[in-house]
Amino acid sequence: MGEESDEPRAGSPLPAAFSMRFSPSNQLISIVRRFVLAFYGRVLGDNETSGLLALATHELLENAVKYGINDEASLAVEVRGAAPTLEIVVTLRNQARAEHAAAAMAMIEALRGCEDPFSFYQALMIEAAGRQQGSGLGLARIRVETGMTLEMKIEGATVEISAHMRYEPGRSG
Amino acid sequence: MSTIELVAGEVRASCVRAGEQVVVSFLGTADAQVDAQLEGFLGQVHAMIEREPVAEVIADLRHLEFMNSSCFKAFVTWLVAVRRLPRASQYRIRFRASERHHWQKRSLHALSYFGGDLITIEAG
Repeated sequence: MGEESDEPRAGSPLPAAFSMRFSPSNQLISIVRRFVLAFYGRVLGDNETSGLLALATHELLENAVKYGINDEASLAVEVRGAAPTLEIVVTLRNQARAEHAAAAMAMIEALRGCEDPFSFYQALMIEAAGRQQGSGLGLARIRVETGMTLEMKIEGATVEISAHMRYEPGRSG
Repeated sequence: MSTIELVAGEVRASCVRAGEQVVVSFLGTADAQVDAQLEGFLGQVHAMIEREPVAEVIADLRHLEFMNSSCFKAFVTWLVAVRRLPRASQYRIRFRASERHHWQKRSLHALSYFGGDLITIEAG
């Protein structure tokens, strides 16, 4: 009594984690996004939430391709905690140049500090229209369009960005 | 009838004009491999409408499985171009979305807020 079982229970999405280490390319990113969409759609029984996780996965992996300084990245998606409120975390770890890591950190801090992320995103969209390269929208898109919060750690050249979602099974959106 | 087409990476797009009706349709995945081409394609669509104005363009995204942020930016750039036209020359964009592709609801909400009264969304 009182001991947690490792066996999946009816109605429980746990365990539901995976991690992968690979050399991301634009061709592989869509394959991984589709896997996340299908896997979590089935595990959670919630296609809307799996769509949010797929979007976050895609944007984080594209950052790794654009700004990585080598051909290696690690991706993990994990459902943590216990019902009724779980946490789902998408984590991308790779190596990046210091200036790109600093720019990502500045964006994440700006998103964490702003009172109205949607208005912030709208302002970034105006800026994006004038940019010749890149959009500068990827991280803000994760924050605003998925509702996930972003955290970042830098250790030397290693950068880890994670997107976090509180999730209550049976209550999508 | 005139047609503009884009075939790049995993995305296919076409703009078909028949008289006063312009329909721009998208199929596949619009990702970082095709952002510049997509922006160029939408620029061509806009230039064609500037030459021969219409009141409304239908942008059919129902078969667009996914769009990344740099391709999303291509749509933002398109909206800015429409906004910069003289008021009388501005045209509306009616997005046709699929509820099957959940990202569309949230991305189009952001785009519609950005585009204001120029944007209409049809969910289906």
